[in-house]
Amino acid sequence: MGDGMIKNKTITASQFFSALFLGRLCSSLLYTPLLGFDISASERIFAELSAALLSVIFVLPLYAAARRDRLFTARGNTKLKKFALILATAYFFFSFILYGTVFAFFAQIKLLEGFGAKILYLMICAAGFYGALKGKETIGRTSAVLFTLAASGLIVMLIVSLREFSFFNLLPLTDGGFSGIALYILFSAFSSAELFAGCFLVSDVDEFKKCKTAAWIVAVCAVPALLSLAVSGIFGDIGGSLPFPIFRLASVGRYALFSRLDSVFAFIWIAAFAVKTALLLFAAKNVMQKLSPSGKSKVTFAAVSVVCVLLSAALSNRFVKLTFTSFGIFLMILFFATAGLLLLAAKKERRSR
Amino acid sequence: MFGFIKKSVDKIYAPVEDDGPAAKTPVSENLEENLRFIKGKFGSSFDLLISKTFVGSNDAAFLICDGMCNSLFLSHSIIKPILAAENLPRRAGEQIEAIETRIITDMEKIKTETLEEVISALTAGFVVLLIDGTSKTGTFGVQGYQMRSIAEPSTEAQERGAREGFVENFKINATLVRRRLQTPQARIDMYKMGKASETRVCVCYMADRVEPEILREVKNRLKNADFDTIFESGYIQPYLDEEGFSLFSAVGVTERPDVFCAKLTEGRVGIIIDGTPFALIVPHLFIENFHSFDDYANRPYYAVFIRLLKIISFFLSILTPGVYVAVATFNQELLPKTLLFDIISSHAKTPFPIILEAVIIHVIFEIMREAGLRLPKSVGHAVSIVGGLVIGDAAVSAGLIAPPMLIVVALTAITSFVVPKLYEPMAILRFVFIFIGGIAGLYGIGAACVFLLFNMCRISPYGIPFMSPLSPFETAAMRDTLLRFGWKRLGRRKMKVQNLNG
Repeated sequence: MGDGMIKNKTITASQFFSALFLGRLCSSLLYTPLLGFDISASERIFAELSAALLSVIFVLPLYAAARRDRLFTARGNTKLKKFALILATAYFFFSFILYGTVFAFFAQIKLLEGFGAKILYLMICAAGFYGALKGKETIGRTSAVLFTLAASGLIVMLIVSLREFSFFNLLPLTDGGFSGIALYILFSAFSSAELFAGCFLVSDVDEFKKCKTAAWIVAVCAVPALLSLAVSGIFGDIGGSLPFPIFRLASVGRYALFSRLDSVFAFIWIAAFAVKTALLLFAAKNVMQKLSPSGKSKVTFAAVSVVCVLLSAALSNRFVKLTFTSFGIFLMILFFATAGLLLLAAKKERRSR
Repeated sequence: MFGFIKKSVDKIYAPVEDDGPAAKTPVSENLEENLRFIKGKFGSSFDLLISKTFVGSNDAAFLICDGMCNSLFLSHSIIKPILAAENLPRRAGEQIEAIETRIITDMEKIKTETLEEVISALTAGFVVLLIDGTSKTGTFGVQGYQMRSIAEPSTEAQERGAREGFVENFKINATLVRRRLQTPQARIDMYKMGKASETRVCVCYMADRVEPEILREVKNRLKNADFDTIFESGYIQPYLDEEGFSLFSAVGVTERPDVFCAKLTEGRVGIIIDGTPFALIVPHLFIENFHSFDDYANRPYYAVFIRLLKIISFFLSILTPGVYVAVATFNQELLPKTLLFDIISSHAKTPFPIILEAVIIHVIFEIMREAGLRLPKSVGHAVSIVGGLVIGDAAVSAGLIAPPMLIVVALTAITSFVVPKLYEPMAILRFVFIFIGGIAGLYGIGAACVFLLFNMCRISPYGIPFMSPLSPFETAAMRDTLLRFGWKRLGRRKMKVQNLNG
């Protein structure tokens, strides 16, 4: 082909936030079976909002460092940074295993029975893996298209399920203990790695316009809380006994001849999981490339990804809530260690300059 | 194991051994030597005609390729005036100059300094005059081969607009372009490609609107494309397209000069290839497959309606059979009870599973379409009748195919002809979605759609994403994307393709 291949090297802010939005949306669907409704319905809304804000507060310095090209630069490949990058790889892959397992479980009990569910899960992972291989422009553009579809689907879903909404279901406002809320906030904020994975996209965003950025941050943070509000208002505390209450929202609404809309709305979660997978695997691929710039890193990445996909598909049969809660706590610790070390290395590098 | 696979793959992709750059033989002052060389190159070809004569007192020869020249024109405008010329200088070199400046003044002339160039001119329909005692040649254009006249394009029928389509001759095609863009900013650069065919390839662009990087990239790719022969624009298309596999192409194809010129004014680069009426345009966007020249001739509201209809048809064409198989196999809860009962009862009488039934009927449809396309028109109609009867009546009566499946294939067939530019990917995707629908249901189709979207979004061969202006979203471009504003607003600011890269 031509010598001077022109490549579109930037992504727009809306593409970047679309990817984060879909990743967050997917996580919000998958938290419930991990954490359940040990806290009251209203506390859950509060927890969702707090978690979103907390994760934004923690992730913003990382984004700022990534924008300044200091977070993952090869120049700063000190021992400290290398160790942090190894932790980051582990964090992305473990997070993928956790959420992949829950999604495979979701596919098994909500979408298809038996082996069909496994095939479906593998297909979605294949789509995400393909997106990760093709790079950030592909992920960004795809996310922007899927965001439009998902957002319109969510709006329709919320509108048609509104008639079942009751404010009484939100009561009592506080019920559970503080530890339940704290666990929920920490889990929600730090186990899902999509916001952290956003560091790999943020450096290539052409420009952030203030008003639009604020609106996007609100959307990314508020939509999971809005879905929790809808779940709480419609199901009340019964929602705690439902395995995937957010998905159940889709089957609540009936409109004219559409008596069953959950099959159609399932596309939202499929799209969201594919983007989340692409985002996590893309981040993992990038970190691995920085650790080992030779061509072999691609093969290693592909092999590890396949193992993670198969492992999560296999684990979905032995889904135990308790195990995964501890796994989530492990991820939290991993996040703090990785983010802390990376920021420390970036700071050292700045000083040395 | 892996080493063996790698070796095999390397063998497949190994570059074909090149003979290296062709040697250049300068034209000799000895006429016989020149003729011997040219005859040797042509071998036993019957169409090399050499007419030996005298120009002044010097031995000379006229050389032509039979069938490539207009013989009447050749005899009246070239041979007769040269042979009847008086006061020609004695020296052979001066004779050529005199012929070119005084005798043959109104003809196309080219300079040929090597015998390879002489041969190339001969095969392109020029007459070559060689005179003993000089290495100068007289090469005059007397091309006069038979060609198809300008006619309405068969693949892009329109209600309104010009009835002219490109033809096989690149010069006529260039003229069709020049007639529509009468500005010096419209540039047509010509190149020769193909070692054996030496095909003329014209790169067309508007110098004041094209992005220099896109133009440079197109020229680079053409320069690096290694061909022996080029008989169709499809040979060049992969070199201009995105690397890697995709069902969709980022290179547009058109037979209409008006469409071609309209694209040039948007800052695109067009490629005209001698020998084919199909010109190429880069960069080409996905949404352009749903546009037609009629959109700009019709009223805006109707143009928008037609565009939406085409988009719906595209999705119906690729998804209907797959969704039908998925819904009837896995997601029966989506259907109203009465419809579900009808479908199930009709399929209960057929021997095949729904997925197999769908595959069989669509394969038969594709066979019929292919047969109808390749056969003469009269026989093609017979194929349609026989196919329609066999599938429509006999297969249902025999209980091989369920009637709802016939409705599905009919709908698929009709909708696929609404967007002919996308027929190839649609035909393949239809089968892919049937298989996925039969294996993983509606959700599987959803996953496959996401995969397809990733694949489409990755295409960006000239820095202009294939999916723009949808993603990256460009508000200004929306007035001529899904919507089509009126000319009063469209004409105010011309959209350039390079503004769509986000």
